[in-house]
Amino acid sequence: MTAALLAASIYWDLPVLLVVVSLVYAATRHDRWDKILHEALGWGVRIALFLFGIGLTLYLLSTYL
Amino acid sequence: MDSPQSRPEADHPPLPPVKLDPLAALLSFLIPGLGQVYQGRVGKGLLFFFGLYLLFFYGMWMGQWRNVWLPDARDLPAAGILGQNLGGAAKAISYRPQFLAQVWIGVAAWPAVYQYVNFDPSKDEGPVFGKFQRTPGEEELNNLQRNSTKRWDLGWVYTVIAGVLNLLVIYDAFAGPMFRNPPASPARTEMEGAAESQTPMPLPEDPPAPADRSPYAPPEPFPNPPATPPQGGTP
Repeated sequence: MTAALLAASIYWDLPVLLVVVSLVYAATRHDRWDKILHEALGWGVRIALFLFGIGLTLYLLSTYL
Repeated sequence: MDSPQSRPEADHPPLPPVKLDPLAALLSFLIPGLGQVYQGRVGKGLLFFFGLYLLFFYGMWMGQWRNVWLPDARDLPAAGILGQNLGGAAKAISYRPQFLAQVWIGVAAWPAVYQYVNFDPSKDEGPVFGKFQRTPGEEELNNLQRNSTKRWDLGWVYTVIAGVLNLLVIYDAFAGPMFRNPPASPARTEMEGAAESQTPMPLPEDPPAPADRSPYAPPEPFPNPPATPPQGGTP
């Protein structure tokens, strides 16, 4: 059951969105590759933390309330 | 009084004015990144092309290729904004507002426009593209909603994000990136080249002639003061 849920989870699609949004957005702000990659890494980490926080909050609300 | 070296314009010389490039913007609207390739920024252009097309078609794949379309709204109830009745494409977009963002991906969304213009409700497929980006029937939509996972409904979000991101790409082609690099002066370029080759480079004893200086190079410092400062007000 858990394996089937993991296989069908929409969360597996998130890395594609996260990587592309971070890279493209960073590339519209800089022309140098070192700055693009550095800013993309920062945005990727921030977006991932934000999504993780939202997911954790929803999980806690649905589990303990 | 500040010394010339501590003035902000000495460290950050003024940038040249932004050159607007409408042709590159149009090219990037048609195909993401094409305007950047036209401008010579090939790497960034390829990043935009592969990144945005990956996101757009990945979203279409998630939606089983049935989430980019412009509906035929002729027989649908009237729609309006601010008391004004909408008609034609505006009415169709009011029934499928996602397409207003998807269309900015460029030619990849044009089959939907072609299908909308040539829509024939008596047929199951369009003339050139078949069912690709054609309005799904009500029964097909119901089946997709009932039998699919959440992934089907999430797919159009990916296509919308791809279209909106291409707006940033179009602006990058039109006016350049948000943070621009100052143009390298010849003296700085030589210093950087020497640093990369790890060979010591002697400092120039004489400053370059004003005619050889880049207009964006930092201002020259004042000449050195005399060895013996003047004593008092009279010699």
